[in-house]
Amino acid sequence: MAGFEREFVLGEASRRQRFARDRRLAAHMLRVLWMWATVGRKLRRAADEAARTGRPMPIDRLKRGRV
Amino acid sequence: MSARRKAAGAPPPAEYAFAFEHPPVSGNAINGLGETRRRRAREVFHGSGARPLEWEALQSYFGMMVPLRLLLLWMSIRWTARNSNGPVAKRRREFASPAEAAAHVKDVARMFGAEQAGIGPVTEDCVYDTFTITLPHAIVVAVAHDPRDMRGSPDRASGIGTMRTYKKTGRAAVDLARYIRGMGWHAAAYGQSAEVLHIPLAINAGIGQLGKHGSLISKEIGTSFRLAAVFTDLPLAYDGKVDIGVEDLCATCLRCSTDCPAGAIANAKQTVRGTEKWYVDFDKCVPYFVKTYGCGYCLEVCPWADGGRAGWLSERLLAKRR
Repeated sequence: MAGFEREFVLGEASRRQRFARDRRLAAHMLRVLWMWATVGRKLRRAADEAARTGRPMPIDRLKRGRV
Repeated sequence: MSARRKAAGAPPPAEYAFAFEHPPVSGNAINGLGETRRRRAREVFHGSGARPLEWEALQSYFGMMVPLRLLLLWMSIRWTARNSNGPVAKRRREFASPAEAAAHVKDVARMFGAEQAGIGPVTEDCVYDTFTITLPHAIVVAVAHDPRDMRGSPDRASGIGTMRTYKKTGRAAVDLARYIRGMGWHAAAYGQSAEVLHIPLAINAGIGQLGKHGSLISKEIGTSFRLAAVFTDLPLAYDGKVDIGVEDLCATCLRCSTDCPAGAIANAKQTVRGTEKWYVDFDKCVPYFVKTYGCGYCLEVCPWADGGRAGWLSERLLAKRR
């Protein structure tokens, strides 16, 4: 996941900057949800298959957006 | 094994549907196991984004495998946490003494949902090596899990219950930080944060003592709880470390080390970054933690688990010592 504290937590900031941050964070969360629903779905299926066959899935081969 | 655990059945075996083709450097080495020199901790899992993590693949896999409800709770926590820091009121409220300020802040923390609150210093061993300490005092808040959620731990329901407790602790910390900023002092909340180490902070703040299972044990709420912290420059009186007799029991008790499904808990203290302490084998614990959406089995089998019994147990142990 993203470096949350560095990306989305502001100190002293104007209302406008905070609103912009809120929009960026909402977009980030939608992206995470989309990843979970698409890439994650494939991954969960692959994990179930790996558990059934007894052949572990190599997770260090995972790339962003690709299974 | 307690009746509660027997009813829940045996935990799943430590067999995994995932493996590393090229195993990363051991998490124990990153954590400084066996190192005699004192140094700050390095991020190893659930990073803050300050640097790439050796165990990042497992962390990403964890994020993709969790149930939807757990993911939605995580998103809700993050949404709250965006206000961990913020503008400070121009007019500053002064207190007669640090003790008065500490009492007031702890009352407010309880009002925001904390079940236990303590105050201690922010020391070098409480933050990761990429963190710069600017606020010297830490208010640590603790919220207990709902025992009904944790009954079947480790399972999906306990994972979701744990996340729900994180949400409560995070909310309490964010609200408390905002309240302190409203009084004209700087304050930043660290709920489910990857920048600070909550257990050393809580030990400094007198919340409890470190147990053999590597988690904190509190006299008031047992073992089954979550922590959050607020760093501030408001002068506060410290609570100091506590001795509730944990060492006396953990030295001879074998419950968590025997029952840990991953075999990650050792029966002897080990040297970690120059300090001898109880340590849980990272390389064995974390894959099982990922498989079970945040295990916590050791916390549930611990004799201190029941918050109502922890006070009685502490008094018995301390009386025996006398």
